[in-house]
Amino acid sequence: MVIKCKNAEETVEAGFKFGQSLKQGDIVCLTGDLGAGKTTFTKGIAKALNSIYEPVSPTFNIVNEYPGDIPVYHFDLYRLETENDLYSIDIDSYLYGNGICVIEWPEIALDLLEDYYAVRISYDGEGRIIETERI
Amino acid sequence: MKVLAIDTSTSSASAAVVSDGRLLGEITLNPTKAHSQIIMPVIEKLLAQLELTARDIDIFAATQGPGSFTGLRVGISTVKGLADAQDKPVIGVSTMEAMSHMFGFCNGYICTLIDARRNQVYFALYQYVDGNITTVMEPDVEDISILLSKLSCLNKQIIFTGDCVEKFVDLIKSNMGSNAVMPMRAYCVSTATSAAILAEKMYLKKEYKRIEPDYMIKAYVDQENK
Repeated sequence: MVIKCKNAEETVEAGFKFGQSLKQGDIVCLTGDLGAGKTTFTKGIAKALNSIYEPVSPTFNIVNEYPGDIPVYHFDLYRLETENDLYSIDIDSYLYGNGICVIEWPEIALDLLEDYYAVRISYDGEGRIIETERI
Repeated sequence: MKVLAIDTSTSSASAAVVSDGRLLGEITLNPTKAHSQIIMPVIEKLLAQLELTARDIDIFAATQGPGSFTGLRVGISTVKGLADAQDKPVIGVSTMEAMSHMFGFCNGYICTLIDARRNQVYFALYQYVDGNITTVMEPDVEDISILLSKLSCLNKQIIFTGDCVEKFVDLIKSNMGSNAVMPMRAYCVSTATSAAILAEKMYLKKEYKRIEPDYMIKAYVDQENK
């Protein structure tokens, strides 16, 4: 599925519509350059799930947890260096847990994932193109 | 002598106070909210009900692994905090031995299993004779099917206990047949009492070490090459 967004609000809206279809246990891998709108898209997902916090970039925390109708676990794995760092953040307890995982910069964890949504956000002039695929 | 032991190595959380081999009280909750939110209120409630304070406890203990990474860290840091504040010993007990201990009165083999995800399990195999334990298979991590085929080759009756026995019950039955003994699942979650008894024994025999995590980190890297 491909969506075009003109601005940040439309990116949030796209995330919202996408979030409405998510179920407990789903994993979403978000790829895109810095500033493409990964966290913005995640704000939409969180709205759909009535998360009590608005997502912020997890670059420094690595994982943010947003309780809601279904808990959302929001990752940014950019700072992880080895696959064993994934162990230090206890990633399995999230992936096999009771919520929805949204993972920015997921490359280092891809070998651990079997069944997930791949969302790619790329620049399109001033706007964005969002492609969604089930892997 | 009073021992307070806790177990947060699996999804259940339990705390127990034992004195001279006798259980004074235990609270077990399963499943729980995050251990970090639940274990201190559980300890406080237990001590309050027993009309004890942390100062009345002579030895602190916890299961130290294997188990859930986060669960172990919460449990270990909690007892270390409590013990160090009182300048009392804090003893680590093997999660596996503690899990097996409650069935130790059955002379025979006990296999403890903790879910390590991706069809792998943390396991150990013990043999009890008249309350004395021998380790037949040291704690390790293995694919469940491979483990079960090894166990079925032993051709012995084995009691299975742990948080994932229910998950793998069909596999266990098809590999082990009537050699598999599976306790009711309600009995497979409470480990703090055993941890307290074992910690007290270790202290009296002067065979204990300050608690340290034993994560048994599964090699994610090896996973790729399988």
